[in-house]
Formats: sequence, structure tokens, C-alpha cells
Amino acid sequence: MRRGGYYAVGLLCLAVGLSSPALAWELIEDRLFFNTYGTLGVAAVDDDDVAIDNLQDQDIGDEPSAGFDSRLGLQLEYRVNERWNITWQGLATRDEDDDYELDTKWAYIDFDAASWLTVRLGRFITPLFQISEQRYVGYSQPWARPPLEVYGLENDFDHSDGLWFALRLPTTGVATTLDLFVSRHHSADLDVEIEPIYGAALNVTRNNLNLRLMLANLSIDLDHSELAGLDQLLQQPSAEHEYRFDSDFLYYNLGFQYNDHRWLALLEYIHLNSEGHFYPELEAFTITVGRYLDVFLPYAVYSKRSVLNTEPETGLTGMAGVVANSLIDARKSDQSTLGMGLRWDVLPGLAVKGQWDHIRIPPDSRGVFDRDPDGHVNLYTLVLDWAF
Amino acid sequence: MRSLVITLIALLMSGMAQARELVVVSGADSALVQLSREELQKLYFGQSSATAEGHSVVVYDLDSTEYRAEFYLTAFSMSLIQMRAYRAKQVFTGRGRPPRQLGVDDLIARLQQDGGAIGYLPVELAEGLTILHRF
Repeated sequence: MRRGGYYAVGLLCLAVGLSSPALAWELIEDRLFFNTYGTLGVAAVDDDDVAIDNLQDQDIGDEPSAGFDSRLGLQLEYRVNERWNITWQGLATRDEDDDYELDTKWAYIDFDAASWLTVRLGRFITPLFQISEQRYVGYSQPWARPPLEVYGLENDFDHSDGLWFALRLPTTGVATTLDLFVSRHHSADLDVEIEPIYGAALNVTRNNLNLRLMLANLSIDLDHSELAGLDQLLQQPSAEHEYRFDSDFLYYNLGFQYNDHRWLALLEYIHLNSEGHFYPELEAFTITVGRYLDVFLPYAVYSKRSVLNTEPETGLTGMAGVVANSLIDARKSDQSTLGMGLRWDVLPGLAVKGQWDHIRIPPDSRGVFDRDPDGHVNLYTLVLDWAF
Repeated sequence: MRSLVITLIALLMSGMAQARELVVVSGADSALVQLSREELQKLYFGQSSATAEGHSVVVYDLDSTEYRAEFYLTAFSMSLIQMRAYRAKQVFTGRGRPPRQLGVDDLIARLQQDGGAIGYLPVELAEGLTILHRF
């Protein structure tokens, strides 16, 4: 759909949502529900030499741009009966041709097998991060921009197809859930297959506290036909490191949330470990503290990301050495950010947020930018988030 | 001075009149007897659909914004706006839908029909119902 079409749909959803006190439209009473969320956002950096790119070639540069952050989500849910549900959720974001493209992010059947077990079959957002599942629902998050060091790692591989078991464990004093999933992701555009993806996430909630522990394994399989030359070039006996295009990633994550509705604290630590030296091994963390003041939430956030396997390749010489060290240099994305922001809940379902991020990049890194910035960059974001 | 005292008393009395006691209730024939605040939080936050004793429960909200705001503030120290952000997360991640909103009469009728249904009401309207929790 052309850009104007989605803007019209987005504005229509916003207008109808504002006129409705409830968080849903029941198209068929107690059966068919329609919900929508969206973000209209502009952002800019104060450095005219660098930009932040996403995979759709939308960027944040020194001119205020709405393409990177603006999106529209649509959800239809059909309740077949008390135990079966069918849900579809699409997300429209701006693509490389500056049109808005609608991707299916969720499409699944839920079966409540017992009061303690829900089985989900179909497409879902892979729940790797604490906020993965609501990553695009800006309204449900405090920030105008989730910390780039942690959530900037989300990309086109965010959804997968498979089975998900949600178990509510019989614990007293705390609410405990265990999510187990096994799935696969195939990207035809990038010739990448991630299969299998399997993992477990344990969530423990007591009053205002929530702890989350996640462990997952992802096996990546690149299309070798286009990489055959590179494969031969790098995989030599003299190489100091191993360069495997097909690799297993071990991913773990620790999340903590405290929200007594006066104070808000969020903490997340992630670690991604890969086999060999072709992919980055990285760790990142973020901490957010906010204070609710009626309809306002001022907050501060600090985040840091480090790539751990950046030792240069010294065993390869000539072209092979140049290529290997270029690969290693290209993935140096260390950076840290100190940010401050304000959320203003204008109306139920509608929030305006502003955020200033001061991003510091070490000399040998380019952070999340398209080229090496000179020390630091300021990023400004203003968004309108809604959910109905 | 006298008019000031009268004004102060009037203000105090109007404040008292606004402070309603809300109670969580089920139908008269319900197997439910009592619910703790922790259980209420699990049920209203969509973290569980059953009590600690294993009774299946369906929770309801009142359609009155005033009662709803008072309930969430009293029970969970949350404003309706904060609750809305939480519910948005639940809805768009397939982890639950908000409780159905009913008027007082419809809620009482639903509680009397369905032993697993619970809701909240001002205590003076809870006559003939089982009071599961007082704040």
C-alpha cells in the first residue's frame, strides 16, 4: 500500500480509538475483536556525517525523519470457543521504496489445554528479550526509543514459526510462568534460515517485582552458493580463528522489572555467544529508572553494548587476512548511551514521548551507525504512541 | 469564623460521601469463599484464570469509569492509564484480553448465573452476594 493509504488507515484507527473508552472493538460480540496500535515518530541526530540505518534502508540522519520509527499495527482475534483462539497481527513499516509494507508478525492458533497450559501453533515474535513480544507496541513501553544497545539487535529475524507452550506453574506467593518454544525462521530476501530455534523463559512475579530468565539456542544456516568463495578464502589451516557461516548461537538473558506505579525500574542483561569468529559474540545491558507523576513519567536510561570477539586475524595473509580483519572491524559496534525522556499520557490509549540520547562510541567502533562517528552523537526522538 | 467552620465541615462530609467501600463479590451460590489481594492481582492481571484452590474464575469490570478507577487504585495502586498500558501489552502479545465491562445490574445478574464469575461493587449494592474481599 502507498504511504498515503497507511497514513489514512492509521489516522482512522486513531480517531475511532479516541472515541472509544474500551481497549478493543468487538466486531462480533465476545467473538471477533479488532485492536490497533501505532507510532508516529520523528528523530534526528546532531551529526551530519553519520546515520542509523535499519534493514529497510530507513535511516535517522541530521534531518528529522519519520521513516525509521513510524509504524501501524493491526490485530484481529477470533475466539472460537472458551479454549480455542485464532489471532493475526500485521505490522506496517516503511520499506526501502518509501512505501509502507505490511508484514505478518503474529498468526497463530491458541489452545487452552488446561488452566495451567496454553499451546500456541503458528507464527509469533520469538520471545528472546524481556520486551520482545511488545517491541513494536510503543504505547506499552516507557521509552520513546527502547535502548539501542539491547533492543537495536532486533531485526527482520524477530518472528518465527513453530510451537510455543505457556505453562503457569502452581506456585504460592508468586506467579510463575514457563514459556517453552521451538520454531524456525526463513528469510527469502536474505537467504538465511534459522532452524531450529528453541528456548525457555522463566518468569517469576511477586507483587511489583518481575524476574525473567531466558535461555535459547539458534542455529543459523546461510546460503552457501553466494558465499562459496569467501568460505574457501577464510577457512584455511593457518587461520588463527575459525570462520563458520553455519553456526549455533547460545543466547541468554536476565531481566528485572519493578513497578509500584510510583517508581519504575527496568534492568536487562543479554549475552549472545556464537561458534567461531564469523559472527559477533556480544553482551549488553540496560537500566531504566522512572518516576510516575500523575500523567507524566520522567525517566533516565543507561545502556552499554560490547562485542567480545574482536581479536584481529593474524594467521591469514594477503587478501584472506584483509577480508577477515575487515569482517572483524565491521562488527565492532560497542557503544553506550545515557538518555533522558518524558512520557505524557495525554488520554487513555494515547501517549506523547520525547527522549534525548547521548551516545558515546569508542575510537575503534562505529556503534549502530553507518560509519565511525567522532566520539559521541546526540539523538533526539519525539513520538506519538497509541493502542486501542 | 462560623461560616468557615461550616464550610470545613461541609467539605469533610462531601469527602466522606465520595469515599465508597468497594468489595469483590461472586454469586450467592458460588463455590468461592474468599480471595486474597495476591489472588485478585493474578486474576485481574491475566496471570491466572483460577484461584489457589483450583476454581476457574472469570473476572469482570464495571463500565463506570469512576468505579473502575477507584477499584484499580484501591486494589492495585494503579491508575486507569497505567492499567491501560499494561493491558495493551497483554492484548498485543496474546497473553489475555481485558475483562468484559458490565453495568451494575448486568454484573449482578452475571454473578448470580455463573458461580465462577467475580466482580466488584460498592458494598451497599452487594446484598445477597458472596463478599470475597474487602479492602
